[in-house]
Amino acid sequence: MTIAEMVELLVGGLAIGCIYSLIALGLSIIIRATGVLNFAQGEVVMLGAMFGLATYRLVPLPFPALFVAGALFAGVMAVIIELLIYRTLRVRRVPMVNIVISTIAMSILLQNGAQLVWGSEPIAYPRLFALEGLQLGPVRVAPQLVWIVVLALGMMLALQLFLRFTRAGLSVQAVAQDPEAAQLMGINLTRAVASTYGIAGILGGAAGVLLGSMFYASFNMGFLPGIKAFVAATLGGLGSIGGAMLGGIVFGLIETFTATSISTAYKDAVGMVLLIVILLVLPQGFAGAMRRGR
Amino acid sequence: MKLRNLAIALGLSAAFAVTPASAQIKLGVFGPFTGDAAAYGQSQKEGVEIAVKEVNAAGGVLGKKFEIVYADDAGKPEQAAAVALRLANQDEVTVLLGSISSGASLAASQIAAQTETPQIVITSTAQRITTQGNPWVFRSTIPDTAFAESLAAFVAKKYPNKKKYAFIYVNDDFGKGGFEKFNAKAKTLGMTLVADEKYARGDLDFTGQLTRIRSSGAEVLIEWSRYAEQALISKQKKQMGLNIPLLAGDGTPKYLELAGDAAEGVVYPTDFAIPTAKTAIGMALVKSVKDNYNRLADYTHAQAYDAVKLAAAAITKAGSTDKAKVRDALKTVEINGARGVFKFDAKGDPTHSAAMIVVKGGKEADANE
Repeated sequence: MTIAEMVELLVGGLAIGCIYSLIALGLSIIIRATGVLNFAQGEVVMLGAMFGLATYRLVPLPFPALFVAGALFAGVMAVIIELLIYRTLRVRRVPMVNIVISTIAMSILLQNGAQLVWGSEPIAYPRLFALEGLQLGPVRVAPQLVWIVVLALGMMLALQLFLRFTRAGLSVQAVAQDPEAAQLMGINLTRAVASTYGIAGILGGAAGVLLGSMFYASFNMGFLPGIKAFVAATLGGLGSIGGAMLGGIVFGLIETFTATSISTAYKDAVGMVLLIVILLVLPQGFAGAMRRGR
Repeated sequence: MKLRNLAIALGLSAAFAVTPASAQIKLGVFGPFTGDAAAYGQSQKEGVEIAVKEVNAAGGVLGKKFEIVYADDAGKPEQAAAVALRLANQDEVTVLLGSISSGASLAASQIAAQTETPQIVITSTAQRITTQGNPWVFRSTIPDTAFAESLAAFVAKKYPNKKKYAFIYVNDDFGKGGFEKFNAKAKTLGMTLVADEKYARGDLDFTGQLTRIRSSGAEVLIEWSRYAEQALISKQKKQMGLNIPLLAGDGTPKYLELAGDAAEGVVYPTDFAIPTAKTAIGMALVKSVKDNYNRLADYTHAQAYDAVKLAAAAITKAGSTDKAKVRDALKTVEINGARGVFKFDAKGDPTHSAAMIVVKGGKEADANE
């Protein structure tokens, strides 16, 4: 492998890794705030991609606008699902496992619903970027990959600012640490949990528009990335925000380099072996390892 | 007790079996009229209807009109077997025409053999459909072997100096079939395989495989995929600036839509397409499909159309609707179809070869022009 090829693969791995990071972040903040592993997160990704596409068909806006539209719609959908279903279950004080199972049901329901609305064939995303790569010396980089990295990193930065410096963000953090104490301090639990789902939805929807533009949109496009994001979140340390970001990027890079240097036939298998190894050796992920190091 | 019941049952079935000879000849048409592959089923119906209308307008066969009996298999093998059984036993069709997906056609072919009903498969290309020693099954499409061989011959002719090729394919029966058949033919043409890459169905990212193909020094890239992966491979190949010719095992309108301008210059074989429809019958079919259904004719139309014409010719030749006689007539019958002169080989596969398409300006064009 030449250096130029290494750099190209690095950019490719970074782009797909950033997408995993966005989905993993959504999973992580929901786990932190409510303890629920949200299996429907992948379908939120799909909704974002589909809505971005629908927006483009109505008004052919530039890519960053579609990105925002897809993300917002997925966020709204996630809040609706949370308020209608998960919250109702929570209020009835059902065991946690029931809520997790309801997220699986939601995932299947959303896939089937999307299949009815948008059909079972993949739908091409509009071509928003020049296809030919930019030639930088011996290295060729697709403009699309650069956009993906920039937008995803921007999204992660926005999340950090939101969590640190806004009242809503701080109440989300407080609920994640101790829901009861937070409620005693006057934080509206329903609103904080709903905003958590909303943020996770926005992150997922953003990932969906990026994934759709990279490949295509289809009713089951979110399923596999959802699973991979779970591995990424575990790699980073479930519930850790920094861990989810790092885990996604590392997982994307591992996947890309495995495909090139070992064999593409084992690409997915390597990811799953990695998951088992992390659970055995480093159950707290990167975040745990860092805390232990301190 | 048991014997008496059996006797009653036999008596009843004998009583019901005495039905008047029908004034029409029934064709059992089955395919995926609902589900994922319904678009193919639609083309199949249209092709059949156009051909039946023509046959009936010309006075029918043996003085009788063709009557179509439709059955939906939804592209599923188990359902295909069930509907084929119903068509053969209850509807008493003379010929079975179907299906689209290889699994469904293969399942139905067992029923064709059991009920001793001739079956003409429409679009299923899996080689094993006609290699199981089933004398009742015939096929309107050319099998994937023939596509692979046509493609290899085309590469050798078009690029006589490019001897090193890379092959990327989906890791299942379909992909492996194309890979093996292409290699066998390419070897006899003096070509060498320098990179052999596979992927799992549903994969999205092929940059790993394409990177390795680039460093292998391959001069042409052959790929054997379904349209979604095919479109992504075309796009990512272009993104990486891998500028070697790309030739594919298949191509569909959906591929052209998904790949956009990354499909430009890609070559693939087809059994029938509008730009390569050079026969008078083929051109007339394209017009009929346009006039009657306002759609563009595809290979399924041609394969379904020819299947009906073959059935008509075989029944005429047999001089009866006796299913064994019709089967024997199918073995030797020869017609002028939408794809030119059509006859079956000893296995029941067509003897003609594939046409070659090149994508030009986002549209299909004849690659041999």
